[in-house]
Amino acid sequence: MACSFGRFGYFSAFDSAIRIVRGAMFFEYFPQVCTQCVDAFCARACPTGAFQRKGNIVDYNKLRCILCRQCLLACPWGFIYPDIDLQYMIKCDLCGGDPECVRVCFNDAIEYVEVADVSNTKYRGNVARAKGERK
Amino acid sequence: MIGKILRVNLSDRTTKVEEIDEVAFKNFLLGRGIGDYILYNEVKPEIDPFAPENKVVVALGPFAGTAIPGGARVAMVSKSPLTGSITSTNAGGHFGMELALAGYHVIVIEGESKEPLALFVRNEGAVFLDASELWGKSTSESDELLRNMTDSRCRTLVIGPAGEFRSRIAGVFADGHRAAGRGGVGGVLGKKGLKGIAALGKTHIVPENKDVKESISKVYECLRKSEGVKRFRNFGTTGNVRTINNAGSFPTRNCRDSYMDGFESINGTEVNRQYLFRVGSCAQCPVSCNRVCKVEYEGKTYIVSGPEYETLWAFGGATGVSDLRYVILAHHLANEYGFDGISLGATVACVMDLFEDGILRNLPFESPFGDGEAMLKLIHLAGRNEGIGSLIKEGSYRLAEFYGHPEYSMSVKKQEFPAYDPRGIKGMGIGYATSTRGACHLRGFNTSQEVYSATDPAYRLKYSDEKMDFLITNQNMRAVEDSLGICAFVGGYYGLDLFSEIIYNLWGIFVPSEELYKCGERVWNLETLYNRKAGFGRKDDTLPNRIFELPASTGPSRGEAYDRNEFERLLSVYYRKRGWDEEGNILPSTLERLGLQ
Repeated sequence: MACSFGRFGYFSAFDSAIRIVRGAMFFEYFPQVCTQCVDAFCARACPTGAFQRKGNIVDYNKLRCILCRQCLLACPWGFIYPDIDLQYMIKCDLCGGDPECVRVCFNDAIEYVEVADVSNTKYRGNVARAKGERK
Repeated sequence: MIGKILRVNLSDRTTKVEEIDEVAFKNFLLGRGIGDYILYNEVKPEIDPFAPENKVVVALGPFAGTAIPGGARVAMVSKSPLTGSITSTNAGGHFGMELALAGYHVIVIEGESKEPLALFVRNEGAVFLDASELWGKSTSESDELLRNMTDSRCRTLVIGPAGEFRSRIAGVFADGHRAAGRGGVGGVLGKKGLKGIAALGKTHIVPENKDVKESISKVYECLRKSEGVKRFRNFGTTGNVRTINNAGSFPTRNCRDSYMDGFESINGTEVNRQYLFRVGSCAQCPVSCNRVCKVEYEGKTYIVSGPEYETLWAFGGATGVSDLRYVILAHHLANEYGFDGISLGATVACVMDLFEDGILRNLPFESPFGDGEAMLKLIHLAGRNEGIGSLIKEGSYRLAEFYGHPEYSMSVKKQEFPAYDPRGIKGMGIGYATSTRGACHLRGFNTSQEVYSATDPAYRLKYSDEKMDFLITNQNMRAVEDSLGICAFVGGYYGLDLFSEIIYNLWGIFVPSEELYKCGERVWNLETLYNRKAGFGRKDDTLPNRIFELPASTGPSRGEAYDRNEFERLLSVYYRKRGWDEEGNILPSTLERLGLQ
């Protein structure tokens, strides 16, 4: 909800760039969001260059898009899909570095961190765990 | 323009779409308010609740389907088979958001169908489905089957087997586990032959004014800072068991006492320590108060959405069961069979009470207070409508009356008490007595002023007139929040000014904050007016004898009973402050002030 509102100014569950898939088990949810691949399948497939890598994200340019849906077929995870009016494609662009979804998530399920920080945190975590085991 | 009304006639299987009248919105808002308005205009107060002329209004608030926290509750209004009065009940879950995005804010269910039906609501309109496959299935199974029949992305509103055999304490369940329990609306839907509604929404809700973003940020800031929200996230409502026991207001063993020895074993900390599996939340809401527990019983693992404070009381305190495993399982069974947890627990407690006093002898098994196995057996009987179960499903008053002792039923207007003892919190007593849908804690939650925010621990035991002011404010504010579809747990963080601001920014309709408060008062008076026409009066605004005659024997409220003279005096004060006469009828001047002639 926050996602579609922050991006387009209206509330819609279908036009959100985050989709939550319900699992087979009770209370099992899988949130799905674009991984911003470095060598992006969508960018490779796009005939007009609407998808291009810019800095940390794969950017989608609505004006260049001709709605051929090649990106939809190319994305191995199905993270790109058309909006309900079939006018353009929807893809997470991290809201330019200040994602709306992070702002509204109370349980800190979503965090916005730089890639370098992630490896750093993991590395430190591993060291801490190793130390703990030795004790 | 604000939302649309979908009229569904089950007799001839037709649907009709209407616009919501802006004048009605300004007077009654949506949700419970518009439901009351439609019921008052279209359903005669004297009819039988199970007659085909009775209607069920499913109504959302104006904030459903947006990012406004806690605004996705779905209210259901009908003439209650349990009490005979107007009843409005609401549930959380994701159904409200989905229905709003499908483009409808109100569904009016009319008529009656011989064959079981389900309704599938989409942007393109509503279609009827044959629900004979779903008939007899539990709520979670029905939810899953209905989604398989329609679309896996749907959200549903279903009734369980209890609703199908027209139990008077059956609830309606959103997402298969979020209950709109009180008042027996599930039974009315069961009689009408509507097993469930599935909704799938694809529209956008476009706010009139971009400033709504700032309003939402304000609420989020408040919620983020609040200690109360943190507590709700950690314990849900279950932490209340300790608070209310320490206030000596935990009605134990069918109100024989107001303090439970060993309440620690069913407290929120125990739930978290032993059974908590994960937490869940409703649509649009960051509070996530829902506990999801994992229980093992007889070699099977159950994943249970719950328990809440009320069910911890109903299956723990009221029945005297202190084994948490049985309490959580009983909660699970109540949900699966489609009962209202509070009423079912209180009725089982009533059976146990009758058994203890030797009135009820023909049970196939013993059922003293505190016996978890017996409690589960009784719930299974009720869920299958067998043996004494066919009486349990009628609610405690009718059960106790059948055995010739209606005084054993702890109920007001035949609806069972919830988990706050009026002997320990005096304001709640008048709240229960004057509630428009029978005993109910959400109509006038005086506990907040008398326990949570009171500095003097003995304040709760005083019979002071100012409590009636609190009560009236609480009742009116609750009516406003219910009519806006806002959850009780986050409603307090908004305040009337912010409500008014958000309604303007979202829908472009300006309702000043003082007018909003008046809407709440109008809703309350309209419900009372309906009840007066249905034959209720001062004689029904009372409490069971046990509250007046039996003092609590242990705990912080030891020796406290409700003084009958003080009760009558406070009731008169309440009527006067409401602008009603001594008999509880609304004075013409009050009706004129509220525009209800």
